Amino acid sequence: MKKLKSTFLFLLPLIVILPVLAILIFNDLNKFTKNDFFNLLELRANTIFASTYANKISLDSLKTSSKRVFEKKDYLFELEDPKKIPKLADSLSLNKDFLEKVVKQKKANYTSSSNLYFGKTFNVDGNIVVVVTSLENYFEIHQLNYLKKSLVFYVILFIIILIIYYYYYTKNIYEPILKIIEEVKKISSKNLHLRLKQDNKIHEINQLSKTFNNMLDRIETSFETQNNFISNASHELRTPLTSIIGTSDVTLSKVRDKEEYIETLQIILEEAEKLDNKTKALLYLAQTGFSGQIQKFDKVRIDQVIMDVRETLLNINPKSKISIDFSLIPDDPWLMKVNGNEQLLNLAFSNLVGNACKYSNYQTVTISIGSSSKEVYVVIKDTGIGIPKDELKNIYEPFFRATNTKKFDGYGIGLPLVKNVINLHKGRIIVDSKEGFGTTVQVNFPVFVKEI
Amino acid sequence: MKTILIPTDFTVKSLNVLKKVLEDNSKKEPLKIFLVHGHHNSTSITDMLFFSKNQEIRSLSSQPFLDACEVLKNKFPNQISFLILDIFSGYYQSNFNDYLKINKIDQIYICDNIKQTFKSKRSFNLNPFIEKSKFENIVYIELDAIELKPETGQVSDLFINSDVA
Repeated sequence: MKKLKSTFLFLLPLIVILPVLAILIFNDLNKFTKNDFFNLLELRANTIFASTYANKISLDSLKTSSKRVFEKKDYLFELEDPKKIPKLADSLSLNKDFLEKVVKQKKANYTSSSNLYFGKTFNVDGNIVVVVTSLENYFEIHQLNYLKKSLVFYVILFIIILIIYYYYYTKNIYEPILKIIEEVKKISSKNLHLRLKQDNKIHEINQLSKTFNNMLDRIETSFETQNNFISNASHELRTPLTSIIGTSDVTLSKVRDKEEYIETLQIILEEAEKLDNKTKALLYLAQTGFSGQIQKFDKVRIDQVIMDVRETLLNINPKSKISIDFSLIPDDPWLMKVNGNEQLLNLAFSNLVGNACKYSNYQTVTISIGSSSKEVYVVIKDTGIGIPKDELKNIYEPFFRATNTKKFDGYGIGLPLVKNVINLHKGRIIVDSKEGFGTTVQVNFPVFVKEI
Repeated sequence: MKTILIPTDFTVKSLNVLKKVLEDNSKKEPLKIFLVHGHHNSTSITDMLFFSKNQEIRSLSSQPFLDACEVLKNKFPNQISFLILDIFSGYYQSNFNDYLKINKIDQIYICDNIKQTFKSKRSFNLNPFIEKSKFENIVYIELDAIELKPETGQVSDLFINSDVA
């Protein structure tokens, strides 16, 4: 409830401003109209005096205008004795302080509850002539009064509206947000499965909860992937070890002949090499996965990398048929230079092309290179077993192997590694495949920009 | 400079026609290339008020298409003097004939066995216009491998014909 005070403080200036505004408007109008009428009365006084003493006095102070005047009562008299002012005032039913002011200051005005009075003195041959003009305070009585009542009513009405709005705001917007804050505080790495409720009447608050829940989904998935990775990795590494331990155990259980020992040692060697490869691959995966590790980056020619990859693969397996498509290679070598690490790029493409060869039973694999001035494109096409459509989204998961790969060897580490390398080089990889027909892998890299 | 026209549906696959033309261009002469797309303009008032041909082309084509154009330009820089993307929105044969005359087209290349796929319902095939135009210099291009591969919309569609190295 204390926190709601801050929103009330926000409302407070508005609640104060409204009455102040009303008062200012009212006073301003009041003053203005009064001034207006007194000017009118002064005019009238001048006219009366002038018309009475028309022959004797100059008419320089006379102004001409025409205004409507209500119920006028005018007085004109010569003042012989200043002490007689109170008596005069009573006899004319005028306010005596007002009269005295007129005589003293030569000009004064006075507002009674029903009338406006204006008085002025003129000098005629040494005698003081007093002219008093008056006007019924019609405007004040009727219009200003009504304005006053009206302003008061509206100010109160709007303050009530503001208070109602304040309650609506706190109940429907501020409170739900507070609730969401409370809920989110409860979520930690131990209970990531908690989700916010999405049943609020206001669409935007629901959207907020929904976005939060989506984010929690992503975080939970990545947490699980990491946990799975660790358990998968340990499982993968244990399999060859189990094989080694088991074979050794069996062989040692009794004395055997030379051939059996040789056979056992060969199995142990094979499994150890498998373990070595897996560990190396895992290490690379971990290394490339960390963006904190700074690899040596320099200008690398992609076409050179591809040529090297082709040679390497042909050496490993002479059955590989790799053809390089030069139909769209640009003449300008700078268009094929990429800011990268040659070993990592070598590793990534060896993996991709190696996969293409392997899963197509060593049919022809085509590598094409092209460049728009912003990106280099490397397209690797094979006519192999392809990837099933619904498994395409999982291919970058560590240890994932598609369902149609049973006949082929593999650990499932290659593609995650490739993805990490490509991400490190700020590139993109797009895989398109049709099961039974083949796979096309397109890799984009940003072209090396010569810094001046 | 020779000016040529190639109809396109703004897919990367259709750029293979241009690729073949440039590969077969044995004289290696510089070309002014018009890639024309048949598309009727929208008739709503707001669309007509704020019509911009460049924006229309950008929305009908795609970033991979524009990237693929750049790839071609980098491969054949001497042959491509101008590569112009344009929209033809006329209804009558005479409109198309006038279009050919105004742009001083010297030669038209079309491919019959490529299936045109249009992103917008208001787009149409230019081939009938071309054939009825009685233009003397129409060259037919044959692209065989193209029907087998489905359109992916990526730049890799440009690398279909593979020359063995």
